[in-house]
Amino acid sequence: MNSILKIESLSHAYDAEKEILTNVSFKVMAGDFVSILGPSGSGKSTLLRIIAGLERQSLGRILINNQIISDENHHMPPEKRNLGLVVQDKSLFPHLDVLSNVAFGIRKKNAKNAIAKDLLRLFKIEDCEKKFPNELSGGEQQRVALARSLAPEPQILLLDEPFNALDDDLKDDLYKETQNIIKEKEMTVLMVTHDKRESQIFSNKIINLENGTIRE
Amino acid sequence: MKAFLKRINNLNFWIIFPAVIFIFFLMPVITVLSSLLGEYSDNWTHLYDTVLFDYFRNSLFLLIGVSTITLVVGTGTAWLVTNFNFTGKSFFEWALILPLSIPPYILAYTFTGLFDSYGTLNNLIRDLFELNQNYVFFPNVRNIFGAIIVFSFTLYPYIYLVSRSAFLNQSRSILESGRILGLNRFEISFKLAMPMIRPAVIGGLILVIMETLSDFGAVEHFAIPTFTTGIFRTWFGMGDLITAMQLSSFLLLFICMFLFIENKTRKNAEYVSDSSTHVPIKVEKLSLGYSILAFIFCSIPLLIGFVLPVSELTIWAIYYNPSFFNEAFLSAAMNTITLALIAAILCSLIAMLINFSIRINKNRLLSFLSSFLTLGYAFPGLILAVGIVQTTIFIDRNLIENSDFVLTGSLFGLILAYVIKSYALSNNTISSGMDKISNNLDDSARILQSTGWNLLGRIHFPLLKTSFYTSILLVIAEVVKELPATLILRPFNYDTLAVSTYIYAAEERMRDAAAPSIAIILVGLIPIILITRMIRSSQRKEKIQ
Repeated sequence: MNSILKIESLSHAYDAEKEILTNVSFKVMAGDFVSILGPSGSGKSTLLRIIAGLERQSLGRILINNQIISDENHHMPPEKRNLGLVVQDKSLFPHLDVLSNVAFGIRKKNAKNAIAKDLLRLFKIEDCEKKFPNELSGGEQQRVALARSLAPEPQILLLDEPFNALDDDLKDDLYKETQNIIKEKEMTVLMVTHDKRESQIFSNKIINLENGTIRE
Repeated sequence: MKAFLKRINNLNFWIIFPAVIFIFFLMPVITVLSSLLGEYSDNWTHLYDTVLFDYFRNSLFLLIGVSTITLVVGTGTAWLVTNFNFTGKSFFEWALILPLSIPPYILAYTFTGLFDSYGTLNNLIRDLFELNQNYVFFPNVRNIFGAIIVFSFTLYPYIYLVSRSAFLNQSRSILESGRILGLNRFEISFKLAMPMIRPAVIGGLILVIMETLSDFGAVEHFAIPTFTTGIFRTWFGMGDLITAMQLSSFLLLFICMFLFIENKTRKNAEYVSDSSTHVPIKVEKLSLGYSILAFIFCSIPLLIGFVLPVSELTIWAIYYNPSFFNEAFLSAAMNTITLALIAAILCSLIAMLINFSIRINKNRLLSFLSSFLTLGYAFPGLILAVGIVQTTIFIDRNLIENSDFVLTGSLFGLILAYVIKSYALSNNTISSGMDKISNNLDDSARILQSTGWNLLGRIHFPLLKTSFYTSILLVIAEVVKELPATLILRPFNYDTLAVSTYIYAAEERMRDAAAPSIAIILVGLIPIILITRMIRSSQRKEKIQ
């Protein structure tokens, strides 16, 4: 079976003295749910941002479907990578209502609203479609962020501590729903988290990251 | 070489656009400064032998007088309304900014109307006390002392605003530490609070100095020889543009020195507040006697800087000139609105595109270019006009090669001057609006394949709408007041409200100047309303927190 995402000898430093990531290598297979588990400051969010193309690594290369998308000579911009990303603060567009937020990245012009409405139904937030982000609860905002990231049908979904800001009851509900949707969509997911329980609930593979290095 | 070629390859609209704008801004400045390297004519020697020292002495005397009064009035009123409760305090908090809506030249015109031998106030005194018609109670104001009063009471709000903001940001715990260490409540103000706001006050003072040095209308009306009136007379009286440019260069270098000081001061302004430990200061109630004194102290600048000129203009407009909305007024108003709108939209668009470009490119050079562009506000309109005329003549002769002048004397030069002068206003408004947009939104949009124009149009512009419209209003208010550049760069027979006011005043037709003056003041009130609303909303937020 071919890997969908391959990270090879990736290192990153903001300044010469302190390396954030050191020689990180791993593979993600199609349909995998991989968690990168590590404490704060271990470099896991930086790793995710590098994979998304929001930052460029100092060394090493990244391949998607065996195609190099980033190395020393070449850097594919984030908008060309066909990835989805959900971050802890959700980053919903405050001036757009829920439906427009979810439809934002869909390129099929005629089917935009239909696809977005399907996703709203899937995440059980169809009643919120006319609401603006500031009118939503934390859980609803998270559902919108997940729906928005899935809408353009990305080949890999990147999750950066997506459930961190939620209370425990809400987390459990959202875990189940997210798990079901990811299975239904047969998504490949790479999630970074500091929560061991969360990584165990979702993942079929866990990578431990400590001080920028993968711990075997 | 490889790196350089890669950079060239990476050039796109978002890099090229700021660079082109930079060149447009730089051209008039370079043109003016280049005159220093050219030949010095006999006129220069004549100026040097006769009036150059007067220009320097008068400008310096003006600066010293205006700085002293604005410092006392600006910090004094700010200290009172921030630290004490007294009768009228909440009214003075916003009303003390009102004189900002009156350009110095309009205050100068109304002052002569009020205080001349047969002006409104001298007539009033003679009638009230049944005095001889030759009796003059108020002294002549058409001199440098009158000019100092005019500048001081229109410009003190710059110092009032920064001082008030600095006082508000002072931490109560720091001032209380002073009390514990033995200072009484007045010593706290003079030994701790005032010295702590010094960097902010110097920043405001530099603005006052630059406005005073740049003014043309007021000093010209009072016939005081300064650098600006000297430049104007050398150009139009002697017909010597090169010498006018050389004089402009000296004034420009003088202003650059103040800009440098302001920049240094801002870097040292950090010790005013620490938001993480900020506890608002405690406001004390004044006794009746002190309350009356505070009321009088705050009333004086408001009376001189706003109430008197507005009353005089209203009297002129209502009692003496029934044809307020005559054809000349409507035509000047239409020209002003058209020009102000074009300049405001252009300025705001340029500021938005440049700030967006800096945001997506994260390029230090672009940030530097943007900070350079904001310096345009400091260049006197007269110097800009000199530089722009020379630049457009050069373009017409060398690039367009048309026997007729295409750009020279057209609206192009005038709008360019407005954009250069007002860019800082747009930039400050738009960049602070953009700072509030989280970078995570950009990241999310990029992941969803929204970049460049798409990102700007779908995410940034909708979120920046309020800043964009605020910027348009601020620039309109600035452009409507502008006099020297408009006077020089306007196309033939193209009058604006400021030019009409100037021409009427120059012909001593003061009552005819009332209509355009009132219109200018009304537009000038826009930024004051905006500033007041912003201060109120930040106070509300502070109370909630």
